Amino acid sequence: MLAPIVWIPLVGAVAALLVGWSRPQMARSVALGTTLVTAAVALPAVFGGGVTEGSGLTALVLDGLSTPLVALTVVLGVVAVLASWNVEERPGAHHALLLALQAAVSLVFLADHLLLFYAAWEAVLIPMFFLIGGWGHEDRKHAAMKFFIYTFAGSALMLVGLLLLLFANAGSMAALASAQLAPSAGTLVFWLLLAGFAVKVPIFPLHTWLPDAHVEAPTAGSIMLAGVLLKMGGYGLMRVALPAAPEAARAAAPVLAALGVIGIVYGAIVALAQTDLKRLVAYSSVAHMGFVVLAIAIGTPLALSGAMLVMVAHGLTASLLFLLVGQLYERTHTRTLARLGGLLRPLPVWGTVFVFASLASLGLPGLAGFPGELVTFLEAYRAIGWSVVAVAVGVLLAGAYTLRAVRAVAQGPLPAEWEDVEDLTVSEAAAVAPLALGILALGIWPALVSGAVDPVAKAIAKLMGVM
Amino acid sequence: MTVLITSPYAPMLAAVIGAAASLVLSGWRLAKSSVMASVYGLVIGAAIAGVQAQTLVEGGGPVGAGELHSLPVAVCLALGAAVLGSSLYALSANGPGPRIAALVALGAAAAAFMAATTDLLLLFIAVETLALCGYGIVALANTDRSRESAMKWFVQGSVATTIFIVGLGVLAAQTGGSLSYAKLTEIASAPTSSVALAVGFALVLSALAFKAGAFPFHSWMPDAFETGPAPGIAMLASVGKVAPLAAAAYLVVAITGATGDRLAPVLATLAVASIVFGNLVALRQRSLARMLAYSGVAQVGYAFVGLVAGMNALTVVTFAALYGITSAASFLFIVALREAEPDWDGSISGLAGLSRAHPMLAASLAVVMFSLTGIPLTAGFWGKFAVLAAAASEGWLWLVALAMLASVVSFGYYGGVLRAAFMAEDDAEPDVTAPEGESEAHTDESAARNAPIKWPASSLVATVVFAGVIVLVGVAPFLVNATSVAAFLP
Repeated sequence: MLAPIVWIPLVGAVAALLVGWSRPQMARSVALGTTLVTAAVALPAVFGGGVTEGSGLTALVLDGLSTPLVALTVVLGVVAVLASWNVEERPGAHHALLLALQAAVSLVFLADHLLLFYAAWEAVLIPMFFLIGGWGHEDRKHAAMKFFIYTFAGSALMLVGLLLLLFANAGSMAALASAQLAPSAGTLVFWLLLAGFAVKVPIFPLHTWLPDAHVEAPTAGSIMLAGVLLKMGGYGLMRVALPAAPEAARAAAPVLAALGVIGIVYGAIVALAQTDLKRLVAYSSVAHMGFVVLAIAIGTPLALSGAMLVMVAHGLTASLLFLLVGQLYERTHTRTLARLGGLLRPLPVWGTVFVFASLASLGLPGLAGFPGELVTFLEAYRAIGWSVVAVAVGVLLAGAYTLRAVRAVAQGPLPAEWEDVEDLTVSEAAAVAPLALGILALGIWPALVSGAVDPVAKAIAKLMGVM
Repeated sequence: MTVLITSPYAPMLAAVIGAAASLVLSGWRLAKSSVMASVYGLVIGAAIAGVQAQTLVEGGGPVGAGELHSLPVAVCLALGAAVLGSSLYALSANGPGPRIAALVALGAAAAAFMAATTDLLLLFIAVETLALCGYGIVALANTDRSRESAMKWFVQGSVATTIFIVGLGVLAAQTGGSLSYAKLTEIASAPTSSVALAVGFALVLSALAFKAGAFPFHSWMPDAFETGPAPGIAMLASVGKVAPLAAAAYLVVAITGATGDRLAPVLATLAVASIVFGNLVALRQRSLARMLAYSGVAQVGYAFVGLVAGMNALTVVTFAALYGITSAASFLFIVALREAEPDWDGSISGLAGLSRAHPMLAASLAVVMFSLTGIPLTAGFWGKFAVLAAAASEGWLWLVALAMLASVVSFGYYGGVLRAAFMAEDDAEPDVTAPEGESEAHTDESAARNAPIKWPASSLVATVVFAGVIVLVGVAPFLVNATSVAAFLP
């Protein structure tokens, strides 16, 4: 039952478009129904354990590496539809694009053949391009083009690497490990693949498309972008790059680890300097994804499952934060920190969830952000010794910028102009709830993710010779 | 009777008869029937070629038919038919329309001949016939600018003709008279093959590069594409590229041994120059047709990357055919938009507001632009994949990486078209879209949908159908002749 995870949203996209033609507001109900059905189909498959379906070019695979991300995608699909409940502008097309995006991202996480993987990878760009460009904020046209060209540049080089793997008889993901690559070819393949994945993660210094795209995208777009699109990079590294060229990956590990640490610290410092709340959350993503890069560079089984934990946790917290920022913007039409404050009083529910999400983002024990970052930190200490202090600085800075945001938004004196803003509606609360529950669940019971990932992580680490 | 089906000349003959019928009928002022005569001729020809592709075995004659040669023949004739049929309204409303139709049919027949022949002398005749049709088509737009660009093209074309003739002379001197590909292969693969032979081939390939519009032989194209009649240009920009590229592919595959090694750097240089120049200049264009012309230079460069690999003619033919379909669709879009919006000035920025005023047309445009960029799920991806994979398997990795990065640059202008068509500023005045008193149509979707559509909107339907075909081929590549893609599928 893997193929329906992809085609149900596609059918729903067409349906939303057709329904939206004559009855714009019906489109959102169609979209919500579609995402709920998809989730209902996907979640049993996810908890059912590993399966492979079909053969050849169209084979799909669901294993420990893809289950957490597929689950994240289908949940965020529902949230994204709820988050765009109030879109007035061509809702049919908007929801059709969202559903098409969900189908493409799911296919990335499910594809078994490298060509299908690549096709899905590029297909993701198309709906996102139109979502940012058609429904984004002031500078949306520029951001849409920048997003497309940046990521396409990475994946263009990635395709060359994938071609080399195809020539080496490694068509399917399972065959990657036995690809017959000469050592020098392995290095070339790894760096070509890394070009594609690094832009997507994004790894410093290739992150500059991210703040623009995140800030200009409509709320649902930011949710999908931060929640799942960034995860495609980490997934690609673990799924394709490490197994295909383990020696090259080990040789590149110091560079990757350094870039990861730089990302953690740099993202945090820049986030600290932001005056726009959405931009602050965007830069915090750079910092969090730095943990993923660091963990993957270390490559031990524990670190790899830590990388997955960070990815899922970030997928939940960042999308919750973007959702909350979007809801705030609908009320105040500003995201400037200096103009906000004291919002916990008029918006008790929204404010509480905002504080909760911020605490999860800074890695409070008991919430989703903690286990992954802790594991990464510990494994990093084993691998790089006292250099790990740099990571600790990043963690401290994360606390600083997060608490600064909380103080500027939720606490302090309430500006007179926001005294009458209304708290969350039922549909908005419905969008918030699954994410908040997920953050809590993952914080209390990280084995939800790591249990699935561990076997695959061990296999990858064994290939790399890092145990 | 069966000779009508099995003769390699049959498809072209059907198209020529259709063209002749067009000319006769146009004398009686039967504009629509006249255009349809050409369409019927081309459809019958394409059908025969389709049958031949399945049933015939490649023979040794001067014109090939069978799996290898009938594919481009069928594509050329079918594209010609599709272009004419969908421009029916534009052509029958317009005075010289039937004559344009006859020239399109004749040109498509010449192009098909070009793609099928295995003899350089016949190739020369076919190339010149297509060129003459092309000059006539451009001039028939009946404006000063179109006559000027036809004249310019004619003058430059005579230079290409001269180059071709010199090349033929050099080669004939080497082979002792015969110019069949079989004989050329024999001479080229001989260990004692001379440099003169490589020079002769280089001259002939340069002439073909002129016809296809590779840098530095491209300068006739932007003017011709911008000023010529859009239905005719749709043929010249598709069939007119498929045929010389296919011919070049068969020729390059015929050149083996030491001569082939001598030519590879020449082809690689042409590929790099076309890709870099075409992309950079296309970035600066404001007119949609000129942008498509310059980007076509880059596309021909990608085809040359496949020629450099030189192993399998079908990879280049596949690329050329899929590019031809997409390119025809892009000019059919122009035909359709001219019908829907007579006031459109032909500029890219003039497309603002398109997605609201004509959503189906805009969606088709998006498909075409993604296909030209080479994004998966469109036909254009598989074309590019075929040539780049062939080049990569031959070890031309740097060339493949360059071509891929150039594709990224190309999104700067292909995406720029989408940016204009889909992402208008809210406050900006929409340029395209119905002129008088309908500006509220852009804020109110239902009003835009109710805007009068001229019927028969055959060009609109055709553009949408073309877009559908592009997506269908993109999703199910095995619909294409699978040889070039299948090698990479399990």
